[in-house]
Amino acid sequence: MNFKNELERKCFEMAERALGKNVTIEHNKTIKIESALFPEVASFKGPPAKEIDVLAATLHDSPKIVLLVSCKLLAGRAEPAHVQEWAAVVQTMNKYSNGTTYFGLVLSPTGFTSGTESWATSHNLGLLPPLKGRRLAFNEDTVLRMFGRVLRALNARVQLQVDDLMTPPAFFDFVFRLSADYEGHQEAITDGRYFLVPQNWASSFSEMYAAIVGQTVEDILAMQGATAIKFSGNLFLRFDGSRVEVGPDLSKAQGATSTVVQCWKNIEMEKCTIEAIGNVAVGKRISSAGDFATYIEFGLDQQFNLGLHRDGFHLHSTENPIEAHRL
Amino acid sequence: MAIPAEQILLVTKDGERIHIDELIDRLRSESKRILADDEVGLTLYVGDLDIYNLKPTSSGEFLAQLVTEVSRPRFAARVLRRQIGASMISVTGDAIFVIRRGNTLKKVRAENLEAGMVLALGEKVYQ
Repeated sequence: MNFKNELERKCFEMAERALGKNVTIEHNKTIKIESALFPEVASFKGPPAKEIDVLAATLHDSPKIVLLVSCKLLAGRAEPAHVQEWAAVVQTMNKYSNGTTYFGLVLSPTGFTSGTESWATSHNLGLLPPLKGRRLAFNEDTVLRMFGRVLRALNARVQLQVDDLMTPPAFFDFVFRLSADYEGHQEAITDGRYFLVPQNWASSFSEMYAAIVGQTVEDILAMQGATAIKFSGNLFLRFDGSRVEVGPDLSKAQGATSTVVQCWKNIEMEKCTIEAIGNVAVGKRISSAGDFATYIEFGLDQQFNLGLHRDGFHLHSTENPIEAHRL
Repeated sequence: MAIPAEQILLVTKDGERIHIDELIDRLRSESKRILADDEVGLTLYVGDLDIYNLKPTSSGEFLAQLVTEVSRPRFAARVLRRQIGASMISVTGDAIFVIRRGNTLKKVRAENLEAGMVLALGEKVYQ
């Protein structure tokens, strides 16, 4: 198969991954209207046809539903003319359709000018990336992920209900809702500190805290270049100095146990053993959390603070007076 | 559009309040409803459940709109507080409002809403 450019190839591969082999995907397609029984389309050459660069994905067989995707590789943002062209194609295909419903989507990794929105909403076309209130620059990889997400969701959606998507701007809104949340996701990826494993998804402090608050500490572990807490319910949190991972993935948390581990107790950070810290921490519930860049700290039953460093732990009491609650 | 999940006011067709977190927790076990569940968040189809989203108007009444999908994004966008009519609402900066301008209507994003603007349905923007 020949591709006009690299973007088309990536879009095609993403569509195949998202929709599977049971969905027809065509490229460099000559599209013809399905019903030529209208005087205005009669000609000596037969029904009108137009060769376009398109990914055509058949989402449903009865009734037949087809998504026509235009991939725009442009130096600048796509302009109203690009959307208008696709609106004309999709509108014509629907007007002379013999039962097939066509949806249209324009993908332009460099984004869209604001004037395109009114054309897309009035003609019910999806835009990727979404037009947001402030100008955002999504990289091509993120736009392709959006594309895959929209295809999977649309494929599931048309099996349930499709009529409501045909009324403008329902399909535009559908694509927007599924892609708009990449804004926050993109910011989280930029931070690159919290991750959910084993999926390796970008995460956040709040999501990490929501996962572990109230969980009981079952063990504390030291491994090569990282420390970890094992919680009840087979949940792990691992910290290596710059990256915090949360999830049920045992592979990293059960890595080679380090014999070089430094542990401190009390506010004065007096040296102690990992066993001494474990004896206090195990069985306590997480009641708070804080990220201090070089270490992260967790409240235990509102009585102790347990700190995870790259190469060790610290523990101290949070109760007053300090002298009466030394470990 | 783009209103964070915790701000959506959902009701049944009989007007009974629905808590979105409870709704999502109840429905996520029905795999056919899951449109997306990935690194960005969870989106569920609810178009067959007669669930409505209530939007406040200046008269103190609510405009009910049928909800087809509910989402729980993992990374919410920045939220703004706006007083529309008698109600304070929280919306993301890119939420769309339709305002009156002379004899025409114009779309304005929440971050560009200004005090004194009048929405298409007659509610006034106070802050």
